[in-house]
Amino acid sequence: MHRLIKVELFKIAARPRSYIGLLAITIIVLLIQMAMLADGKGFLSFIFSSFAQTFDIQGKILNGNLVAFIVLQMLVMQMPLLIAFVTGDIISGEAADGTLRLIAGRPFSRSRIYFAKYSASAVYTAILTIWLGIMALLLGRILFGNGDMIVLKSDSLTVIRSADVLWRYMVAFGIAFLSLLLIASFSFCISAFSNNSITPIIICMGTIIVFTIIGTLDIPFFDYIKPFLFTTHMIVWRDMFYDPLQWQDIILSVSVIIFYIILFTAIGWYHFKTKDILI
Amino acid sequence: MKALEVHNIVKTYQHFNALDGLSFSIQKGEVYGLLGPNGAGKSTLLRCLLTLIKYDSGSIKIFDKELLHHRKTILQNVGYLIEKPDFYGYLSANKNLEIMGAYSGKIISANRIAAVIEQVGLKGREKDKVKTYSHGMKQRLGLAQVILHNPDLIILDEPNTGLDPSGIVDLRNFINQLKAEGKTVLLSSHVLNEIELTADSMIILNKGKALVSGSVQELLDDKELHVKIEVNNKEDAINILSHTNFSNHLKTISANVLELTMQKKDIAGINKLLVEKGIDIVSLNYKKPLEELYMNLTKTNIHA
Repeated sequence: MHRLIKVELFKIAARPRSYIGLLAITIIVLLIQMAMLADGKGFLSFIFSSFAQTFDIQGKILNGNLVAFIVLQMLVMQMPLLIAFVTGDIISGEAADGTLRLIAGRPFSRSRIYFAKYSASAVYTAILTIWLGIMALLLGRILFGNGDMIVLKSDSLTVIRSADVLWRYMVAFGIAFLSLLLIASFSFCISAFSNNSITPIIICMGTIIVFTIIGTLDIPFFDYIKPFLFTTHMIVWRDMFYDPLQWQDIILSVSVIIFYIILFTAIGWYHFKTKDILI
Repeated sequence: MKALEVHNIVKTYQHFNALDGLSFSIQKGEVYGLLGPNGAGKSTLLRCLLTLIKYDSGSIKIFDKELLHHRKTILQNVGYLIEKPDFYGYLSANKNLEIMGAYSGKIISANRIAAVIEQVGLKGREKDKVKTYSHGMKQRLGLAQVILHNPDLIILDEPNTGLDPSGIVDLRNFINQLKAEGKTVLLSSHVLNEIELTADSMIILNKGKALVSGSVQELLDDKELHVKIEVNNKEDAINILSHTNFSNHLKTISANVLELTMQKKDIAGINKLLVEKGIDIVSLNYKKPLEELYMNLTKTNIHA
């Protein structure tokens, strides 16, 4: 199995499209950081203006921890697209190119092929998440320094001590990884059904957009649906930066994310295992 | 020993029977031709042999082992090229073969890859990306991956599609070499001449059923040919031929062209008879026997 995973990782590494995600993250994060370097103080004054009469905010608000948080907020919609762009193509792209036919008649079972490809997708997702962490947090701290982190919610303000920030970020990145793995599993699942690489990406992004819109609409009818939408739980990484930490909510959301990962992986696997390869 | 045994295999797509109780077998070391018009079930059959498609009923035995029960062992010993040769275009031939080697379930050394690259005539281009290859070169690479893991059963689906004349000759030599090495080759092709030249046995399919199968020599030996003879004096020629055993199989095609139905072995005698009686033969030709057999069988069944 590890031999197949190595092969699949090699294939991902050899494809130019795999680097688009890394490049996009680098450019987006650098742009945000440059903008914050240029006019970050003005931006934050505007954001915190409503609290200025109530609180006396002293010290350096604009630091690497806050900039990383802003970066992550802004990349919520882009990261799934970058993930789906690669993982949605892993099976369907091979079906379209005819290479699936070339490997599926080999001695390895369909299940092994599926999980080797899935494992490679998971590794790719992890690499993208780690790169995001390096660019957003590590580079952010180098450029803007360390310090206490102030996080603004719609009606409240949380201050996290600098000593407390790093481990929260580690857990937040862990949750972000699971959320992105959910997207990878979803697009990979659709990829098993499709014979062209565009369909999984479109379906994946379309679903995320529709679910996100439903999630943001304050219509009572949707309140019943929202807990079942995976997009509702994918943003739970933000909860790591609120005080007190609502562990129960975080664990529930992480459980839902894991449930969907298993569900999509199982559906894709079953279909791939049983489908006729006609192309 | 039988290399392949297909028994009563059925595959249905919705209401269409792609394979309809097909049975045949291939002896070890044979080159076996698979013929049939488009939609006859050839590709479906080949895909069933490789488990790319699941068949509804029947059984397939390869080297005396049931395919579905011994899939891994069997497919380790099968090399195939189905339809067009598709590869990872962004990788070199070497890297593509490394991947195919990993998927073959055997340990394939760099030396083995170099050897097959040389064998198919791609030496010097093995480090180039496959997307820069011509169709003929991809076809050669396709053949390289077929033999990479030294399989005993080789399945080739239309391997001569898009090849230039020298490529076709190379392919014929390649198949003959495989045969000489004792490999069993299942060759699906639309080029009847290739089957006639390379295959020991064959099967003609239509609508998922076998129309005819057996040794190529036996099937073609007693084949009656439609021989067209162009002469300078048609009336005299008819007169002479009407006193032979072929008088009932004589037809006038055009002003100076006659058609006789006869076996291949009788052609020389008729030629000699006409020449001796002073008839000048302008031309004498007949359709290739396999083409004749194929057209008759498939035409009848297509219109049935």
